Amino acid sequence: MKSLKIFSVIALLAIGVNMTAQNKTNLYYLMGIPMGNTKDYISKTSFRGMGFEYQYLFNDKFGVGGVLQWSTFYDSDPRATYTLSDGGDMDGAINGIRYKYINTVPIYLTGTYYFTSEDAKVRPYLGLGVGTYWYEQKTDMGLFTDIYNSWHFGLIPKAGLLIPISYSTSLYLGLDYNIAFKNSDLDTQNWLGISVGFDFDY
Amino acid sequence: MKTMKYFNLVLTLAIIGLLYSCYPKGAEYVDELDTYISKYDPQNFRPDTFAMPDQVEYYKDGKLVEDHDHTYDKEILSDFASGLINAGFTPVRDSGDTSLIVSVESHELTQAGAIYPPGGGWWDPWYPWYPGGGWYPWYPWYPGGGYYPWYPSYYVFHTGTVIFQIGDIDNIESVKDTIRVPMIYVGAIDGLLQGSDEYILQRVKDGINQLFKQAPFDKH
Repeated sequence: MKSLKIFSVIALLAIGVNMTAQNKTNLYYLMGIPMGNTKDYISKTSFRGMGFEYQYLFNDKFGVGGVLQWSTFYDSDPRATYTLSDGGDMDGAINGIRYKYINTVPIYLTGTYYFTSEDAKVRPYLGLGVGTYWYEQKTDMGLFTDIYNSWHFGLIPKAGLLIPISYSTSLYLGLDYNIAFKNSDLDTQNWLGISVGFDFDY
Repeated sequence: MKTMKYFNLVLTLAIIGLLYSCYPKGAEYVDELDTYISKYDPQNFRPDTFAMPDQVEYYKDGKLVEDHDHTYDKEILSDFASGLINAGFTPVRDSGDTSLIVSVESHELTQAGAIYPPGGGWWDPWYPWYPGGGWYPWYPWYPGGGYYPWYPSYYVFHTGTVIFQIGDIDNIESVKDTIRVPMIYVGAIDGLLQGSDEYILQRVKDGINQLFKQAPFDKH
């Protein structure tokens, strides 16, 4: 919550600085490197993801906006036997090949600060996202599935570069550290998002 | 500006197409979906005398199939009996002299979902295709069919489950007007019914072999 307050103060200060409105849209391909509890479940890097971001720029150095992303992680375990327990009088075991999936849709608000002006050759930025994650963790074994899906509160520190390639288009390179906080179903989940795409100013 | 709009559209479609085409596939071969489930009563499971049935009972969508081909019964029953003997159980011919009795059923379903087991109240009404522990039946896309389509897709598939049950007739319970034989063990081989009869039989034999490698037989 402290981070949210700091974010709000920065946003209000920026609004007071300059009011030359401009819009920005980022569209990018997204990879994900699992970390923490996410890595314990699936350790393989995800190469399936995409993201969309809209930003309203208060001046050429600060913007606020919204992000919608989608990432899918996948891995499988070789055939193995696992203990079954359903809390009843019977013990048991199940043997099969596990196919593991994570589908996640982060939806969050962002504040982004650009260190250089619009006419710079490279525009590094730092940002912070606050929002929610729809998170599904699914394990298939044979014709059975074990599935959790739930919403998590999330915090997303961001950093990256814009490299202008024309008057209104830039190459977009970004890193997002995703923190989907613990809820009643799942512990905190983490992964590092790597974005490559385009930024459009209009 | 118009060119940029088209560029954005093409870029968006390209990214969606790329992601759609590389969605993870899961199982590629039928036998990769075979699952072997065992459940047992830890208090009463024990090596003891046992009697085997004469044949496998076949059910299709919950109904007994009276005139089913029994060509492979002998091999299936023999493999299971051998597994029990290797685990320290003693076979008897006369079911009057046994402590344990074995039942073997084969269930075929034309779609995933609830199965309607035959009535009678003879066996304890617990059926192992729902393994518990958070596992639920799902609808698999046919293995090898590629990725999951995002549009509605219609499919028909058959699943098969071979169920081995061991009832403890030394401890028969009377419940109202029925007699219940407590089950001390249930083993299930679950998978898609695809391929030749020989291929399916081999998968069942592999499944029986695996059932005797996992709980509770790995502890006895």
